Amino acid sequence: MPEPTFDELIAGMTGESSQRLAAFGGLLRGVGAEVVAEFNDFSKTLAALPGVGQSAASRIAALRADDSLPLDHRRRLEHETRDGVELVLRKTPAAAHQAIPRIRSMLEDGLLPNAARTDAGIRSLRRQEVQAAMAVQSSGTPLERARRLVGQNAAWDAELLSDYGRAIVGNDHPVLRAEAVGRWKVRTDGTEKQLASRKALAGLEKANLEGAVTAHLQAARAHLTRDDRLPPGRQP
Amino acid sequence: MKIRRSIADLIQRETPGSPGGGQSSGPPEPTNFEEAMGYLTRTREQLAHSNSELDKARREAAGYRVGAKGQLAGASRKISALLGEPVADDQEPPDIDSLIAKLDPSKHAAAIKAKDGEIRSLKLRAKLSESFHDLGLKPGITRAALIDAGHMERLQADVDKPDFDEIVSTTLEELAENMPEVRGSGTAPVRTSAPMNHSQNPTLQISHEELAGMQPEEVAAALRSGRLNSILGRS
Repeated sequence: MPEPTFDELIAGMTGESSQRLAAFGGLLRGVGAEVVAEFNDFSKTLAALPGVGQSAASRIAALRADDSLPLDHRRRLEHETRDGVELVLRKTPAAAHQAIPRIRSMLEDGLLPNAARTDAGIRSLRRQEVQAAMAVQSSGTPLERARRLVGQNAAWDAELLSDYGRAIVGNDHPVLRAEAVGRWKVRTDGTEKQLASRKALAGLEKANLEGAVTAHLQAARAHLTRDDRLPPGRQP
Repeated sequence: MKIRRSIADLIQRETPGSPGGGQSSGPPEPTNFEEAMGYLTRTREQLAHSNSELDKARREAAGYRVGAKGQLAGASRKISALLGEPVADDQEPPDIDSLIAKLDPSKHAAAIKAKDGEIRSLKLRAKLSESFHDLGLKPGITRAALIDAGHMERLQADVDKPDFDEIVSTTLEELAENMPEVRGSGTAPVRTSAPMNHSQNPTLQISHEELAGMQPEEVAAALRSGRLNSILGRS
């Protein structure tokens, strides 16, 4: 069996994750422009990563081969290039990793009911309903009472997950939100946006975006260290 | 004389209040000529009265028949007019059964469906026009992109959904995100000069010092926009 070429090795590193990314991108229909924009930035960043190592490696190779410049100057330039690339390869994946929870959070926002477009009068009535439903419960903290309500009624959930709910449960609001996300993930109803977001959230788990970041970073490093792995006699 | 006698018996039997009315025994038989003549006279009077009442009833029934026919004709004319086939006053109105057959909803299903499709199409068109303006999108190219991506059929099917407005805005915003060419009309500011190309402008390239102080997100954005080309040794 012939040994794989360098390009085949790189394709092997990033190919599968790129396919998963493309499949996940296909699920981002109807989830909102913010998610699509965030994912597009994420994909473009990852796609640019291997090229970072490749272009830096080419420049270093060109510097080594350029005998018209003094050796010290070439070494300084190579050192600068390596430093710059190392910074880029450290910070860019960090940015990509930071984008993943943002994408997840945006999809969760799309999954949960939203009262932003509801008439103020109707919202007032719904809040009274929520208050009455919480008052009926004989025991428990506000958070416990709210958690029991979550998932029963989309309109109530919309209020509980808004600033109104934040005023009721205080700093425990993220816990209430997580409870609501868990319940809405397993439901089958909702608006088009909720359905699309639910599907995309399921796809997000399969897409393994963290793995894709690592794969593209490794591809960039492989490009950067390609010539370093050559025997000393073959180095330029 | 025998027949007249039979009629007299019959009237007397069927007339309430008359002597022997409704009784099987009948009136007492006349015993002499005067009584018979008197009886015959009364019978004639009763028969004339009955004939008069019958005539009145017949005239009344005829009046009802004429009135009903007129009302039916009027109704037929009105239904014909509603069906788009008006009938002149001097013309015979069409048969009511044929009009009812024309009103049968099953016979209008195709036309109703066509109108329904037209209404949905108009509603979608109005919403899209409004959204194009709000989002500053080019109507022509955006509409073409929606058709090309298969969004138009989906949106038309979603017209009746309560979250239709959200579906339209989400679809258009996503389209604009994936296809920036659709942006550029409406209330958005119009560029009158040539766009700047940051990636080819060496003055906007980031230095090593700047790179060291940048946040990861800024580095990623700079990488995407080509402002790290100098550091990465790209010409």
